[in-house]
Amino acid sequence: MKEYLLDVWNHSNSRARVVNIVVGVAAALIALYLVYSIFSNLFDFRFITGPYGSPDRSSIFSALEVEASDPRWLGMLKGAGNTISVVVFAIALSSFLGLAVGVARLANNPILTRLGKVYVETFRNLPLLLIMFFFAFGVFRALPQIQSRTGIDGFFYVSNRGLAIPWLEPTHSMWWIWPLVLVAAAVVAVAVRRRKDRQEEETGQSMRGNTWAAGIFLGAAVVSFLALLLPLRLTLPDVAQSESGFFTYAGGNQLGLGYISALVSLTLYFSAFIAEIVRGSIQAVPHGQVEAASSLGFTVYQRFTLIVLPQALRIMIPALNNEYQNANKDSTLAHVIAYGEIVLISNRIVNNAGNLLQTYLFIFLVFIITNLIISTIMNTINRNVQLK
Amino acid sequence: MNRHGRLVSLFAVMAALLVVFVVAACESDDGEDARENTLDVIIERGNLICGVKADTPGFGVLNPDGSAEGNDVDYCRALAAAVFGDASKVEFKEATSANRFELLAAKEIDVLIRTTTWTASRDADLEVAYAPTTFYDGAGIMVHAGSGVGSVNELGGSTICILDGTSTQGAVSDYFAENGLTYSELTLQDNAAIRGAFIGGQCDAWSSDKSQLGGHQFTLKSDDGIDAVVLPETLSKEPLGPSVRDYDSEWEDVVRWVVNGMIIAEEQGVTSANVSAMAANPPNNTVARLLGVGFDGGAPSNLGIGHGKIPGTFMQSVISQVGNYGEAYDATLEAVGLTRAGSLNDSYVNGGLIYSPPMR
Repeated sequence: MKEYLLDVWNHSNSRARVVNIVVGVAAALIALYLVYSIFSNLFDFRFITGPYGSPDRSSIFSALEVEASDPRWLGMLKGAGNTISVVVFAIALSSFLGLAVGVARLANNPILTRLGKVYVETFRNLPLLLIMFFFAFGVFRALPQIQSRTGIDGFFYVSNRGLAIPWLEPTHSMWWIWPLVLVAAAVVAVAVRRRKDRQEEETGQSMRGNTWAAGIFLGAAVVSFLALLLPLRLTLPDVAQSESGFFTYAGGNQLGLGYISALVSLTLYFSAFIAEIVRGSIQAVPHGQVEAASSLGFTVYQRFTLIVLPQALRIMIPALNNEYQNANKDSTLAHVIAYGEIVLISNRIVNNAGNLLQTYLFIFLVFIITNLIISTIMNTINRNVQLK
Repeated sequence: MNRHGRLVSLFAVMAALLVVFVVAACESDDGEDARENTLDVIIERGNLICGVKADTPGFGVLNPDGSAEGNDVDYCRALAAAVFGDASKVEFKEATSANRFELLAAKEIDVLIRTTTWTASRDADLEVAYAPTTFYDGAGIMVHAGSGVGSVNELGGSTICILDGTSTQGAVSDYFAENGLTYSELTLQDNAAIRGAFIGGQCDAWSSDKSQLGGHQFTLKSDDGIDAVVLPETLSKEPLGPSVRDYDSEWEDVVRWVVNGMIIAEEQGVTSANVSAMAANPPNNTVARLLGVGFDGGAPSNLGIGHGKIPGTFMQSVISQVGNYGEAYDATLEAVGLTRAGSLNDSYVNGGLIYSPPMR
């Protein structure tokens, strides 16, 4: 036995294995101890079933409005939903605006290029927090009062309480089936289009892929809308007055100070960065490509949409991924302007229940998960546009 | 060094790390089990660390020059006077509504005196112990005088501005739900923003603790010429007082009895001006016990507060350097327009709630 042990110890391979096992087990024990001590002492999660305590109606979706009676975990989930519902729109709007400004900066029109430059240098060089404050407390406060009924009467109002816009409202509790049908129809339509395009490539005959796809999608949308007994209806906003004379918006949807300021600020700020990414990416496409396209008789529009933009997209996407993730993270600043996103909702819980570590752990998880989703989407797009 | 040597040294390093971890782990376990006696820590440190508000006139203001003022600040000074006989041996730390309980739990502060409402969940769940209430407050609502509203029950359909993260949010929500009224809420992060929103018509009403609304009503009139009225209803109970960590009863007793002592001093007419005369010649047994002196030639009674770690005459230092309950109130809260007479904060003798158990 002793000889065997000495043999194990004297042989370099087996000794290395012994050392590995000992160190590995020791490390695992230490890690387990740390996890145990953290979870047993600090991570008491009983508070999440308690009631949230006060309502928050700054969401744009009535389903995401926090009720006072909601359990705290539901409040936090709705807060995460509010974060997502401002980030998704901010990313979409800032991408369009950024593309427009980035292209404008390369235009042959000197006024357009200068305007683009001023736009980029203004919003890129200001702190996002300052922009938010400016809109929430400067611009918003200067808007007319609600009782002036400023806007298009019966359709759209603007006041220092927010914007009132037409909105869709469910007519029965099974309305959510309709959006699911739309998603399914979109998947089918895309698959059909891809198949038609492939056939077109193989046979050389026009298969009208786009027409088929649009037909399938619109047909399914209309038929299912009727089959589900008109699940949504349009509601128009109005200015109402209570018995004591207080004015409120009734009907439609009210976009409050917090949501509008957060959306506008995030859009302006990130569109400036995206504009620079767009400009840089377009300029990075070799000039020979443009010259070749011109000599083949492409129009300016064709040259841009068929030759330059697809190649610029390859360069753009990794950088855009960064900006989209930053937009997601920076949306947390909106808690200072009364938008009920995840940090604001969580801070109220910390204030009442005091469980800071647990609550903030949830915020970490929300941002790790949402940023990984953004990354996954952008990486998938990246793979699809790269040269194969 | 050959490969074996490297492996052996790696092993040695890992083993050393393991030892360090285990030792550290054991030590931290010991630290958690043996609960620290805060009174001992304060005496050894040589000063008291007190968590207060930094920007609320009347309650807690930390000035840029390092000085501090306010009712909460006065109770910090009273505690320092009780422990050290010197009201200046106190360090003020700003406690925000978000970090106050973390500061207390992390032992960054010895006592939290920051307009903190005594609630069951804080008492039980956060393991915080409350000393007697020093100020009885409650949420109220203020509207423009021109609105013609005379009661909270007429506020259905209104938009109300509330400071975010305060218990006022819950109080308003509960009150309106109980009375079947609807309202919209605009929550902002500081009073300046709310003020602007109230003036600009972004909200119809402004809700906060009544102690705060009085001050805002005053500055709205003086700075902007705007007339506002505080509606008569009180929506919630907000008893404010000092709080300490649970399982720290020696220190908790000191905090509790310094506050009680200041209340008794007022009942008995002991003030900062006459305390030394009263100590030399106490008019009755109650005053003698309060000031830790004998009555009529007898021996001083030993109440056992602080178990001999603080002098039995601690209330003499408190009253001579800070004053009794009424003196502290007049100097700080009365000065910002919070009238005491007839309010909940009047002495029980006058129909208020300020009452102390006997010191005997």
